Amino acid sequence: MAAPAPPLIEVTDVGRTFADGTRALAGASLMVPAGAITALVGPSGCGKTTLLRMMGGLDAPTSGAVRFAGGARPRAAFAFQEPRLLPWRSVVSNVALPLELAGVPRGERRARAERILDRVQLAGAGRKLPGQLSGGMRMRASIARALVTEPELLLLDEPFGALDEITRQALDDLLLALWGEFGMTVVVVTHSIVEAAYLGRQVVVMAPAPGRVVGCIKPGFASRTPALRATPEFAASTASLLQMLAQSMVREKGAA
Amino acid sequence: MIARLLRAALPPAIVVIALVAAWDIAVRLMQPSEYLVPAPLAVARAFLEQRAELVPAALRTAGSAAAGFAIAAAAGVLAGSVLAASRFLMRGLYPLATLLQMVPLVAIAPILVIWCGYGPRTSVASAAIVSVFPVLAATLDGMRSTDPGLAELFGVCRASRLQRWWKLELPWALPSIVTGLRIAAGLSVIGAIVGEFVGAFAGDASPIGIIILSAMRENRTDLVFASVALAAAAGFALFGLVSLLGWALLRRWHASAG
Ligand SMILES: Nc1ncnc2c1ncn2[C@@H]1O[C@H](COP(=O)(O)OP(=O)(O)O)[C@@H](O)[C@H]1O
Ligand SMILES: [Mg+2]
Repeated sequence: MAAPAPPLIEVTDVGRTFADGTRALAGASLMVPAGAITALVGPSGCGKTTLLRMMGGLDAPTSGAVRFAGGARPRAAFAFQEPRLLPWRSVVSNVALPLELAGVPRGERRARAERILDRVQLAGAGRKLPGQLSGGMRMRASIARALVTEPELLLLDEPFGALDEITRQALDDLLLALWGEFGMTVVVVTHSIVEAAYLGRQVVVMAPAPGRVVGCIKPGFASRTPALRATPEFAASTASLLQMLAQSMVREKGAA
Repeated sequence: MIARLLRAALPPAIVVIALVAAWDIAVRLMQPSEYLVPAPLAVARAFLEQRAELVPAALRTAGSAAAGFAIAAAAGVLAGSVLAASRFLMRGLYPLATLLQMVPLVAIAPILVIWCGYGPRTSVASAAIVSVFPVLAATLDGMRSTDPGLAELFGVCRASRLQRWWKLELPWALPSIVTGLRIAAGLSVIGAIVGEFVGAFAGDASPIGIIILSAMRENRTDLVFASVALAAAAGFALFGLVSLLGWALLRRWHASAG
């Protein structure tokens, strides 16, 4: 087995209480290894989005700490559950938006956007408006927009949650291919156990009320191809994830 | 495109023709004095006889209305944007703007004459004043409804305040702004004529408001009707132009433009 990658992000005993008194997180700890995919699973309301926003610098803990390797915040990009494309802009200028906002000259940002569109198999759709695309295509455009800045850290919040199962599996494979090519660190929030086990080198299981980390498994499959989903090892890892989630629910009921 | 335009224009055209016909029949049946209600043909005759005076007058009024409208459009979008950007300013100024909107224009018109003097400047100011509020309100509403997800996206990309306004909030509010502008276009002609009633000269360069007043004094009701119709046509033209502009801006992506 390969040596464990050094952590890019270290989340230590993080708590987050909102102004209205909601305790979104209490004592959550985890490591995000550099250059690997970490999946966060858990029922809705367990603080996954809050944790992801902290990793991207959009929110700060009220207790505990989020630390980054080398002390500097890595260049991060987000993709959300909804594609969040500007309906009046063509796909290519939507994808180029982060570069445009950062002041990259027009010619260069066009070229970079076209290149990444090609990588997500949208080369022919650049001139279309978002309204003319299917849900899966819009999501690919959204991923392309996140990747166009070549981020060190890609943060995905239930990115394929609104898509049908077939499209979702295709996009999981596309994500793995892009990760293989660019090598960025990925943190992906999902509530699909199958997706988490398939994508994550490390799968972190969370529980709600208050949000916390209840466990972590490292599937360690030799290769991740569509055929993997049918193997007994894959079934074993989804089963242990399911068990972890179920246990956290039982404990919660016992405490109530 | 032309077929669609025809299909859109046909129903109102039929209604207008039917109304004019009903008017003509009513005049023939009830025979009111020419002074009270002239027949459609008498109005048309008055228009043809005086067209050398009427058409330039209508153009002058339309010019004042268009200038006032342009000022109101720029000021309304700018003020709406500023109010949308600051919760404090919105809370402080929006109720005041609403209140100002309640002050009747006819009551302010004499003050405009004092400030702007006799002549077209008063009409322009009067047109601008009546049409600014719908633009301001529509801009404010449109910008405040900006999708929070898109706002977050711009935050993640560290967009500047100006980028956020120009690339997100303004295009997002555009459908609403266009609606406000269409309302303002119609109002601006009313504003211009009110301004003319109190502050325009009679003479070679009379606008339509002055023609209406002098025709009324001369008991030329047919000429009053012809002038009113021309003023309405000016308002309609301005409204149509703004609608066309809005359609051109929105047609590619917004549902309201079909
Ligand atoms: N800005 C906020 N203000 C108040 N409560 C919030 C805010 N954001 C999230 N919460 C609450 O914090 C909890 C965790 O939210 P979130 O991180 O979105 O969970 P998840 O993504 O796992 O569904 C939820 O109960 C949610 O209602
Ligand atoms: Mg969430």
